[in-house]
Amino acid sequence: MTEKLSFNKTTIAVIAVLLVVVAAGVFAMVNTLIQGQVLFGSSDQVPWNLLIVAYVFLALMASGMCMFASGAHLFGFEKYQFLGKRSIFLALAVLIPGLVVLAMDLGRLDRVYYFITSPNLQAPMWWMGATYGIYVVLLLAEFIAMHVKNEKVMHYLSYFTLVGAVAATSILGGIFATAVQRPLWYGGSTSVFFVLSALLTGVAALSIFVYFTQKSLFKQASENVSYALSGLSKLLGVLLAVALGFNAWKLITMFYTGTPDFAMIFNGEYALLYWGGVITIGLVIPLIALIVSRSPVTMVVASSFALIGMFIDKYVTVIGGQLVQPFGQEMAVYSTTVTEWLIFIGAMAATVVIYMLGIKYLSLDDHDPHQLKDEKEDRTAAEAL
Amino acid sequence: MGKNYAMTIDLQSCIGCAACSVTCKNENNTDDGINWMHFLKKETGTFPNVRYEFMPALCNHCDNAPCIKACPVTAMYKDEDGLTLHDADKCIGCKACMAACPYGVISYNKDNPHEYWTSEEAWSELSATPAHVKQETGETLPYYNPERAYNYEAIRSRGVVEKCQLCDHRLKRDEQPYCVERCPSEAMYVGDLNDPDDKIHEILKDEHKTLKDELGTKPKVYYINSF
Ligand code: SF4
Ligand code: SF4
Repeated sequence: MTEKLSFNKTTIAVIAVLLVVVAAGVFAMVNTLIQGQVLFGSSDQVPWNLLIVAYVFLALMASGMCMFASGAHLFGFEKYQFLGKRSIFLALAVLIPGLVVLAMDLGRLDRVYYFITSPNLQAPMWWMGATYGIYVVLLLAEFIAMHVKNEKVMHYLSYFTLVGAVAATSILGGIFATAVQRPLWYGGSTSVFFVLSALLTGVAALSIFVYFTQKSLFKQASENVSYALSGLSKLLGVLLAVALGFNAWKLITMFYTGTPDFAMIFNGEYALLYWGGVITIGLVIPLIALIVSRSPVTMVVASSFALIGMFIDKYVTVIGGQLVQPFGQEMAVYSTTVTEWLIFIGAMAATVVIYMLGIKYLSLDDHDPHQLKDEKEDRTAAEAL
Repeated sequence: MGKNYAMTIDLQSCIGCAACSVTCKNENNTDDGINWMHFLKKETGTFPNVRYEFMPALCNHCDNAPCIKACPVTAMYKDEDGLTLHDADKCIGCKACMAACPYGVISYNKDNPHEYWTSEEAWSELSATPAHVKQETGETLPYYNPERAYNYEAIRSRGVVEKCQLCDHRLKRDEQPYCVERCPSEAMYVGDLNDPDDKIHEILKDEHKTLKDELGTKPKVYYINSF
């Protein structure tokens, strides 16, 4: 199998392009460190910008992949276990650039050590930092255990990474859920939705990565990959339906309070993003597509739509949640800047590069999908003996 | 028992001159666009049935302050006299406090402070350049107030937030905050809620309200005699 893993010319060209994008991101970061956050579109009215949107999106994606991998392992969904190592590696490949993006939004990066020397245990932001910090270490440990094939350690670590993924995600939601004056954020359901949204984003991203890896490395989808994709598509379908329900109830409850935030997403400034982006592109189209067909191609298309939708969902939530100003003052405006986009896109490109290097050097396909069936037959035979 | 400072603003005395806002900038060396003490203005109705409201607005030094709860590194804290204070030496610039404060009174230093005074461009040929003025005074800011350095960065660095400290450096030596002292119509007062003999209790006998108290933040800026 290893001889198949040499990159062809197209792949190498793709990596070269990605490296250029990463370089542009690094340039934007260095520029930010030198010139400061004047390069960002945020203001006193809208303190959190695209970088926070990007971080939330990426952090949830990483947690979702890990929830899937650890969950599949712990709940014994054997047919998906060949995705385990890849998912955990992807989670790392997404989360680490994500944390770098978050760090860029800190005004005084040089003082982050206060997280350790002067913690505020009441602050969701502190818990978020702490859980994601520990979680990255656990993920790394789990990946190493997988890599050296220490099944036992990996098994136990799966418990921790699963709990870690759910905890970190819901605590990240908690940063928003505790802001009492912001109707788009406030309330415990925000944290629960973050967990749901993590799984949805993670599953969608995983499907895309699995499909393209399979296609570019093995020319055609193997039976196991097709099986996994079809299973993932069912899961994605359910998650999309639940997310629609969440949105319906969010709208209904907000309708009763009739806040300006409701008007903003219902028929105001962000209505197009909300109805067009979050609901139609992100939830309805992929759901219908998956009801009609669950072929690998449909799954990839649906996943792409779902991913775009989930990103817009974070944009509407994070940015939209800050636009309405207190005391009936004029609504704030925010527009993204080139620097913000470069950092975000650079981080995503870094994810793909890290992942591709992982495929090449870290044998992410240890559990060869082609062998899975034989293994299973062996096991059944062994059990019969 | 420590003190528990609170402020009263008599809206019927206030003439809407914004002197509080201007003097605050002097006292606390705040940069353009950063206002610790500011105001809310509202014009409603159509002529001739119009209404104009003006309200000085600042940090409410909430007793149950969301900004303090949100700050991951305890850079926002309550001091022993009930003030919500910010430690500019500890702040990491995460802006969680800004997202959490329901009153929108925290500002972020996006740029190096007082960049204006580094400019080499004069208003006209006859005037000195800002950089020259700065050089002559020998301070970062020609109207620099060194007193602010008492327990806070006198000029805050790029990348941290800042907000009203209720002139804690003045309160410490039993002086009223500078905005209170410079208000031409004596509309404001800062007193100790824990001291039964403080004049503040007398003032609070009048009809008063606090902002958004339904959120449970327990704000301590009392608006007296609203119209
Ligand atoms: S008004 Fe805002 S900044 Fe001031 S104490 Fe209350 S929450 Fe904190
Ligand atoms: S910006 Fe500074 S004061 Fe505000 S929450 Fe972050 S560390 Fe605390």
